[in-house]
Amino acid sequence: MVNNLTATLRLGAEANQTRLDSYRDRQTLAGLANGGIGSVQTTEFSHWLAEGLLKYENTFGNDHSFSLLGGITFEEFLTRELDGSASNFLSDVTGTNNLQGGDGDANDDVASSKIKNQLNGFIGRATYDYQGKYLLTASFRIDGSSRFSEENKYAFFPSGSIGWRLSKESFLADVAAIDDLKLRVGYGELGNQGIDNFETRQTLIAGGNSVFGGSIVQGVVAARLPNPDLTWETTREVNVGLDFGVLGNRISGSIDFFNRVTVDQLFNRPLPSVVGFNSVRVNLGEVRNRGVDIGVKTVNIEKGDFRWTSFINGSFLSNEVTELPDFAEEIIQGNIGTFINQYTVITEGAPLRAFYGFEIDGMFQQGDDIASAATPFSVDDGYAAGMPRFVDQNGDGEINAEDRVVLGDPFPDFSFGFNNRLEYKNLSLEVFIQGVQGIESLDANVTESLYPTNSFRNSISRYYLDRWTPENPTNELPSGENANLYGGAFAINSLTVVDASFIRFRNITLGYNVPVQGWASSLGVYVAADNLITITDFESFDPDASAQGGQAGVVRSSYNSYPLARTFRLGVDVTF
Amino acid sequence: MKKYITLLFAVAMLSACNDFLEEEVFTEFDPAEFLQDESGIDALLVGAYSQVEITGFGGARDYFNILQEFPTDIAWETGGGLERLVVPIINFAWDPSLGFFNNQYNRYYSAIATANNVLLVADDVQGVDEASLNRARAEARFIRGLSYYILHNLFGPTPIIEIPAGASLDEIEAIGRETPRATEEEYRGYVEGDLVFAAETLEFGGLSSRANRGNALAVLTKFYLNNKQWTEAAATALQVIEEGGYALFNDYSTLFAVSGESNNEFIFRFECLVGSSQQNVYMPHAFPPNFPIASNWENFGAQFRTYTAFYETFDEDDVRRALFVSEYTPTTSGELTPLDRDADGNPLDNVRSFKFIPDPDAQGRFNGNDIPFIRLADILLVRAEALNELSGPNQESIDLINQVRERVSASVVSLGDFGSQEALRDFILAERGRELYTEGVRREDLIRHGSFIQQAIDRGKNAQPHQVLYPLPQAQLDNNPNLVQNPGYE
Repeated sequence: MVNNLTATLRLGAEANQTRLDSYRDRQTLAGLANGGIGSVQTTEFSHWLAEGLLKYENTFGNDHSFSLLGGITFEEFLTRELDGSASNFLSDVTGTNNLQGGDGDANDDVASSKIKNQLNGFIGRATYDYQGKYLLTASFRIDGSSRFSEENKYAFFPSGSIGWRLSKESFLADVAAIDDLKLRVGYGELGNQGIDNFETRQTLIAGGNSVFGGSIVQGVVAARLPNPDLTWETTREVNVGLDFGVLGNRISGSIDFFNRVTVDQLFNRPLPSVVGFNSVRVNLGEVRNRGVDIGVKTVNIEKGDFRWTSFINGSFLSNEVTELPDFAEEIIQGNIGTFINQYTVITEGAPLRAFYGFEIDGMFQQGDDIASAATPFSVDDGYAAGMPRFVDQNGDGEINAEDRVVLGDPFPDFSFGFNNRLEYKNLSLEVFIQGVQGIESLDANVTESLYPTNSFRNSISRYYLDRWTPENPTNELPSGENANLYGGAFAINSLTVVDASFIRFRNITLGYNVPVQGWASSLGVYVAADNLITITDFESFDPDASAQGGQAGVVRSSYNSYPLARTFRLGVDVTF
Repeated sequence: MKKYITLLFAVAMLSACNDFLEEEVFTEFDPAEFLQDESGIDALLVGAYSQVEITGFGGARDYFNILQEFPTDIAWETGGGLERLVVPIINFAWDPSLGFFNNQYNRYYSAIATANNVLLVADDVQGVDEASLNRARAEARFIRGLSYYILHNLFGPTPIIEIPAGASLDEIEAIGRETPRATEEEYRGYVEGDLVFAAETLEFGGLSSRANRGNALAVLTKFYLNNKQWTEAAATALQVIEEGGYALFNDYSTLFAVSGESNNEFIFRFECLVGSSQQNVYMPHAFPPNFPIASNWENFGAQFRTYTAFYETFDEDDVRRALFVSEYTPTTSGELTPLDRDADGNPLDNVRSFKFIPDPDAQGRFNGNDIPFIRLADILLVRAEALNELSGPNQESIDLINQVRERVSASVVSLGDFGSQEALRDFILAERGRELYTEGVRREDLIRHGSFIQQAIDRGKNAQPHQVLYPLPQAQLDNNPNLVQNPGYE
């Protein structure tokens, strides 16, 4: 009995230290005005993990094997920061190495912080295998987080799966073409504790200070509206999959159908600011992600010295908000640096954070009866030919907030990767193509072109060159005259929410293995190109970039994203 | 079932693990420990002041300059990233989604929430004497009354929000999502109640940047004035003038400079200090292009300009006129460049108000000039206006106006100059413009005198009668179905 028992203790730790020095010398405007501005920001991050596992495995007869596993985990995350800044230095030469050399005036600043959170989990798993044909797994996790209140610290997440290796059944054993065939059905729950510290309790933080009698006086303000009822966000996934290998494994791969329902999403719900806060963290609603993932590897040709293999993976995804509480039918959010805001919606039946605005079906032309058409501003206000014809969705003869519709969503309908490798003797060619289809983005470079903040900001020439004029009575682009009449909230429309689909030749590598003898075990030379071609209708730099970064829960938009570099590489690989 | 399993494990591991999962506070304050005594309450009160102080970009620039002066006969703007945002204000083409409205709305409701929190804490705290608690309550109600006064000025009556002690999150949300706008009558009573309580509880004197009897009465006076409650306005104005101990500063030309901050004329001010959170950012907007500035100053692309017609309403030797720059020599061309009229005599509408004389110790865009909210000259003119409204031209009104004019060497006026109540009313409005330009009261003054819309039409704007109120922000309407939009904006 004891022979079959394994005890494992795993300890891990990491520590990171970062330090950011920035010095604006007197060549910069701000540096000149302030006599040099130096700042140092340091962050120490540490994380440790302790995990104890006990595993029992046994086999009865030749057919039954099973295992049991139980364990407990502890984790702690600690971040400490220390920042300092100063200005008005005697000279720029000391940079950030002499912050005390600043003038010690009120603009000099120090800040420090310490924040810690902990996780504690219990895990259990049982597996059973009959002849390698029928496979059963049942497991659970109980996860605890310091971030939730006493009542909700722990949550239970079960999962289980059944596997059936059909290729081992007698009725398929004789089918020579099938090498492997396995059907899997699984159900699992996973938790997410993605909130900040203290969101379940009230704390006071140092507020913006006041000046009384010529001196700075420090005050405190309530940090947030706490929600003591916050609990773990749970994702429940049902998964049906098939693994296969046929024709001597020349074609192998897997296909997975999944239905992932996330309930109690941890979500910042906007609040009417009259209660003093703009949002509160809540567990809210239900979002469903349904889709298919396919991965297939094929050996297309294998003849003599020539070999051609392909790997293709594809994923179809549909995202939909399936349930929102009654009191929050519509949550409108979004803010981008170009003064465009409130452009996404969370509402039942639409994808999460879909783009929400006005549909434009053309431009008013000279001679149109604009006065009796539905327009955001009246003809008296200056609404004229060359301005957009907004769709009056509710047919009330007016264009207002009620006419907003979903203009697109930030999830691809279909994404794929397609890799081909051709080898002939020592020569190889590898081509990787990536594609994303059916995804939209709010392009702030387009809003800047249609609604310029001022003439110095980036604009796309087409919006000026091809604009509506009496000589160019287009339906595509407005005249640009008095753009305020169709701007403001109306700037979120079918011209500025654009298709961000693309197909990209991510990487092409041509390699040659030089035959060597003796002094090295292998020598390879290659030429490679990254991001060689991108096929897209998207007008800004990179259709794949989001101005808000890749964080979960943020809205998508494009704003002067750094263009992706096209790289050519020449390389030599030597192994001794 | 799941709950029980979880509970079972949780209980089993309680002793060992629950301690491990304790959430410790290091960089913030636990209210239970912090709010034990007077200093804790005072820190909370200071936090509330910091929310209502109208300084910096989102405060002073947006409220005083953009919302209160750009739709008037005094000032306008072009250039910088700001231009596109303020064009709707200048051209009377704003709509409920314009960001300024929601930003202002949020600001003052944050201040109200913080002030309300002080009131809740004051009712709950132990071991602090009642007199101190009452002072804290009075200051909190001043902050709240002031916030509602400003909201009323922009939007008309808005919802009155009070959150009872111990309210649950759902109850708080329901208050936010359901509270309708107060009626004009309820609203006036509420603001009056706060300011009267502050005035009766606090004494005259002390800092003009914190609540006292004088500035509570002054805000109340302005509230009465804008509501055309002339009798009340005249009475509280008189109380401020006679009992407040304020005096006109002898030198108008340095009243708004850092060197003039010791004045006893500012009744309520927002103190600014380089290096604090409270900054005066007006001047970088006022310097014309390539104006010769000190190396520690900054000049923005966004340029605040004064209409030539307004600039020309001053007497030649009026000291207040000297605070405008009507011509200058750019560092680039070296040639004297006019800002009032071009060589052919056409108005350039490009005069610059240098009222907040740049702080010699400014750091870039940040200047330390205090920002007056109400000062004695304003209150003197309020009483002159209220008395004229009550009984037509009278000697006291004339004397009050002359106090203001004599200080700046403008010609004195006499009762005989005004043949009618209307003539004096128009003169007072013009005088308020000359005295209070760049201080962000023009919009409310024009509205009270019924000339806000007509003047805009005369400037060629397509102004509509309903635009005397700004619209409630779209974001607020989206969040509260019981909010009724101001007429004309539905």
